[in-house]
Amino acid sequence: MKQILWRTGFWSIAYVLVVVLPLVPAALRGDLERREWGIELGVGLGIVGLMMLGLQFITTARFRWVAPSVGSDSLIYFHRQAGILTLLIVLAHPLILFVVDPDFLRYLDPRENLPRAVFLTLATLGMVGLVVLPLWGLRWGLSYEWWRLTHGLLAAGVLLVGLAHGLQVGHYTSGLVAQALSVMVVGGFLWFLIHARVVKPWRMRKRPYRVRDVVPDQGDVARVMIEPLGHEGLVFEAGQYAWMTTGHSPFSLQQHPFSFASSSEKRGEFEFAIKESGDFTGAIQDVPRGTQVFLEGPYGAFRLDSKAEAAVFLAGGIGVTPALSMLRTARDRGDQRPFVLVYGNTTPDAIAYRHELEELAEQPNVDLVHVLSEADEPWSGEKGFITDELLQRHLTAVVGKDTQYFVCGPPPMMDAVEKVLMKRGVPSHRLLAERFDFI
Amino acid sequence: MILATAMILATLRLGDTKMGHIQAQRLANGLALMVIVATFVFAWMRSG
Repeated sequence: MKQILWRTGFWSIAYVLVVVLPLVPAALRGDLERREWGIELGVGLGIVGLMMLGLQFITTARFRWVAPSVGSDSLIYFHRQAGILTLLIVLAHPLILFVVDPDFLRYLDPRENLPRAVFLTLATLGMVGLVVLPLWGLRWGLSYEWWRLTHGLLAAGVLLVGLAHGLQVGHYTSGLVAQALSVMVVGGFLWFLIHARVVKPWRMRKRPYRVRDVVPDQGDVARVMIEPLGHEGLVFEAGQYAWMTTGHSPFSLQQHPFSFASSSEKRGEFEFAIKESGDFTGAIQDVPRGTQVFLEGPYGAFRLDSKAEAAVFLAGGIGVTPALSMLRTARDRGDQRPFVLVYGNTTPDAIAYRHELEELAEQPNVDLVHVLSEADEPWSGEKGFITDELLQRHLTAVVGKDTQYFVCGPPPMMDAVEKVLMKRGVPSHRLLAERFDFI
Repeated sequence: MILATAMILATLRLGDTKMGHIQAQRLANGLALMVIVATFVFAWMRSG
């Protein structure tokens, strides 16, 4: 827990320092005229708004060394909230200046400077689009792939217009040093976008994989087996996930995250359990053997701590995948720590990997508890949902201060289970959840 | 600023849980607030 706080503290301080850094040399410049407080506030908000926009490129650059501090999903939630706040700060920049001195409205006057008026208007609309499209775009029918493309292009466009605007105004960017530093800083931010969208796929190009087999399982799940072509394949830890692209190019916009289902001890073959929930997941269930795919990763902090004394997996539906990977890995490693999998489904036919899970549960240190919400009469196991009372019945033997809890499944189930676990006093650093809520 | 960050962190329960997500949003709010305060200070220093 302390480590998480230290890391988060480090990144938080770094975030604020990077955002306000340009204000320091600007504040110390003695060669510039002093202006009204409101004007300096408006200008300052424009500078920090641009820096905050630039840092948004880093929070989505998928650095494996950043996400473990707070978790991949939490990083995206931070990104979303920071995006809304960046929009408010960027919009406050012209509004304050217009109120303090209406003469600033000439920046939007096409008669005075047509390109400037057009680009500043487009950048403002683009900034609004950056926040609105992720919130509403998919509901309006925009596909995930097009949303991803437009989000990156809009962000880069707004950042470049912001830089050009700062250089053109030329107050705090007067002088070659200030101009060079401004270009370098914005160029640095753009590099993170280029690295994520161009450099990484370019490197993946040399490490292709192939679909070896697709095996249908219960619960509308397809077990997709993938093998590396001409290389050893990536090394992952059980519970992690990778971004998958199908086809001949890793530059495809079709990239989706899937948890590894296979044991991390098994090299040279990877298994993903994919349930149909959209165009991509539907298509991949019918993907022909031999189809080329690319994997980017591994990512994720949803991993078993070597110091944990026991592990409890609370899964629903296809959310069993990371638990399966951890149980398979534990078996292959001869890990004798107690494991409990509480697995919620609707009916017996919806239980993915049922046969294998029951085999894994034959080990003396593994307990499997099926919970069915729509069970018929012959079902003798648990019925209903994963509740506090149910956990009380099955977890007593493994409850300890170093027991690790993993939650993965449909959002309503996860919300309910997290609430139950917190009520039971499970410390937050021992509670991990995987939501794959990346948009 | 560092003290304020430490105070925000002290109230957090981070992690990839729903609570973690809410706290990540709160962290973004806290950091943006610090940035705005720093901008106010900048404007005060630069104003004549």
